[in-house]
Amino acid sequence: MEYILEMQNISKTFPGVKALDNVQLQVRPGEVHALMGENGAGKSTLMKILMGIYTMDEGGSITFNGQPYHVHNPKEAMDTGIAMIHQELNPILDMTVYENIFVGREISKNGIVDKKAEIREAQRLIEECGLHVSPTETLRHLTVAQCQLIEIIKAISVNAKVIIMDEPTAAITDREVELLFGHIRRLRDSGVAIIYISHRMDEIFAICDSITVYRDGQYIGSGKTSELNEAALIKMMVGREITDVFPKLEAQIGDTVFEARHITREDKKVRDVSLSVRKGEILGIGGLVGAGRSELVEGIFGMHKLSEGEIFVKGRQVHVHSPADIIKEGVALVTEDRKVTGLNLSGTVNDNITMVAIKKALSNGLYSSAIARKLSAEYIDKLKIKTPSGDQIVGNLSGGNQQKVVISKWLLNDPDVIIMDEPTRGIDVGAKRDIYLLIGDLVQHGKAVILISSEIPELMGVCDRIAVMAEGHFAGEISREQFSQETIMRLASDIAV
Amino acid sequence: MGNKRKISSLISEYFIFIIFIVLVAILAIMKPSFIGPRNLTNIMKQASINGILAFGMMFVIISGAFDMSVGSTLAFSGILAALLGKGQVPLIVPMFVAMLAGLCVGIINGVGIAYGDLPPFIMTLGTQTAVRGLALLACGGNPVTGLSENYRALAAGKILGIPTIAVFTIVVIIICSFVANKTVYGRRVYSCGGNLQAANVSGINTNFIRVSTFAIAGLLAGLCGFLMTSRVTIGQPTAGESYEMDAITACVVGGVSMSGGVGKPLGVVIGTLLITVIANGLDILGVSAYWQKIIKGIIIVAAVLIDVKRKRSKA
Repeated sequence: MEYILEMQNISKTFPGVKALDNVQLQVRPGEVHALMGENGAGKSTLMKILMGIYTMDEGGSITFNGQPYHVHNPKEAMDTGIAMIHQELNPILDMTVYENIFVGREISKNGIVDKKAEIREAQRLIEECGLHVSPTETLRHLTVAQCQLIEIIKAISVNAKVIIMDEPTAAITDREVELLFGHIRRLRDSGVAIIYISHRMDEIFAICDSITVYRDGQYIGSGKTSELNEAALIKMMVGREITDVFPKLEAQIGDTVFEARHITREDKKVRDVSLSVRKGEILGIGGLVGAGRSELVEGIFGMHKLSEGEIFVKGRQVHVHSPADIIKEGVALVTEDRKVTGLNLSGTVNDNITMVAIKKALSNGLYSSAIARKLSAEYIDKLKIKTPSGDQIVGNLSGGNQQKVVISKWLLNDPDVIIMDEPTRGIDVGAKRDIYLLIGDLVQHGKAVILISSEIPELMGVCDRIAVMAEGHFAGEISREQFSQETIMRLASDIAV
Repeated sequence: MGNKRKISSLISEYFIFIIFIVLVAILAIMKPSFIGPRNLTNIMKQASINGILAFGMMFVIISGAFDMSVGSTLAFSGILAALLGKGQVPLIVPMFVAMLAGLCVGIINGVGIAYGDLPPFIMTLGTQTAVRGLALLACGGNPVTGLSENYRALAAGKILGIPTIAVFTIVVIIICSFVANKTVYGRRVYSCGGNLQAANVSGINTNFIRVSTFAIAGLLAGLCGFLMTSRVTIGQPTAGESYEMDAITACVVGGVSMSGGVGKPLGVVIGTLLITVIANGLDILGVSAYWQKIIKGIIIVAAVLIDVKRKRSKA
């Protein structure tokens, strides 16, 4: 038996859309197999069929472990030996570690939970994984990375032969990624096959043995990682060549437009951080997750109380008590989590784009949907937002296009300083490039941009200057000529600074 | 730091318990008759019906929903029990029928919410209204009188010095606490309320769990109907109005989170006793019914405020 999992002629039709068209996937035991493709390529649909969440169209066949494979729900899939770690993390925050590990398949006798056995077993699994948490700790008290590892432990504990990991590194830091990779290698060496979905090219080459690429619901090809390079892979994914992944447009750098001095948050998550940005400049903020980068900009933006600090916009001091105070001065914040703080997901594209600068859509003091439609049409066109119309519900758009809507909403308010917190998280190569070009275009028009990103190559590719934070402090600053991955990593992990 | 966190979480966890003790102490000092055997029996009786309803409600709230219909269900099943309790049939028959009726209402609620994807508020508001209508219809709008001697004596009686009606409550509390704390089913109710999607992808039949919690709430509301009829010795179609609010209050005050996934049976016991003691104590002190309502309202908001603050400090 060469393959542990073989999917042949898989199609899936949704009303009006063919999400998958006769695709295939072959996974060997003991390999890490990457699924690649832009958003909408069909990777998630394929995995949902595998987990029994969707039913495939007639004519496809799946063989697992040499046997025909038919499951109707995730539980059956897990019982058969396939587990999935979902992109949207699924911990139950108010429950303990051991309860989370055994959710859905509690150790029990006559319907009564054997709590002691669960704790004992959880302790064993945690130790095996080299994790240092108590099985009785509540997940609310753990970090995102620890929660992620708990999810992995959960998958291991069902004795899965195939584990699907959908963007497992989306929310964790580089240091934790290394830990995760260690676990993945151990699993692989013990004969488990891992199906790995990620948008991060460097990870694919670091951890995966083979790759299968999909595009627009079609199977494009597969091969060994050692026989492919980045350019070839991108070409397979987007169907055309993208020469520079991080396009950098030249812009005229002018006077300082924004300055924050000695920012200290009342909750001490940020302590004494100062930064400034000039007209036409892109300032990057790097650091590990939890370094206080988002907390810093949220503090500046009036979403959290500051115990100390001064903020200057265009040379004038601004007293920020709420976001409205600083928005008025021409500062915009594209928040990290577009679904929570960026968008009204059940509103239309028009509603969302006019959310901040609603005054521009007024006619005689009343909201005019005609004006709103016109304003948003301009941005839909300018930012190339892929939507049937401005009346489309935002929740139905892809991640990249949702992100463009958030950015449009701020641009309509005509800000001078735009702060973007992880604007490219979870969106595909093509959409990322659009966002870099947009940032370049903004600074060319004399705006200043502050960009927070956990992806160091992205910061190095796009920014003029990078400020690095560590543990709530300012750890150092590097200008473009001095950019190097090592320097940034060293600053980011330097706790003593 | 770990120790400090433990202490503060202990305090917040037992905060309501402390309030309860302090309140009892104050009342006992101001009016010694408050802790007299007579009044304690009285409190037990008063807390009984709400205690049973609150325990049904507890499962629903922990699973992430709430049930507005239990008061009406109580009235409807109480009428059915009264109609059957007029003759000489064994009391088990009206009890069984009342609980069955409650179970049916609960299942309808649950199916509408889990499978029909209706918001719990809308679905149970609908059944609250409709089932109240059923109660009125079943008795032609008039109270059902002429219950058998046995049936009337049930709620007034005592077992080992404890009011029979309170014995029912204690049995319900013991069973429900066991189910919530110890069984796989109980654990899964918490999972559904904690994160429905996570429970679903972990292979839990979340629709079944959600329907079943409403079924439990309905079943216990039916039991309450049976007991209520005995206690007031007639079947009242208007019985139990706004009782769902008292049940929800008992849960929330007892630390059951309205966002689901959090709550302990012991908390619900304390919550029930607390609001009963407040009402009873204020009665004894001669505080007007109008003020009592104001005080109760403040307590509900304060309890939830504590819950919200506690969550935030943890996050």
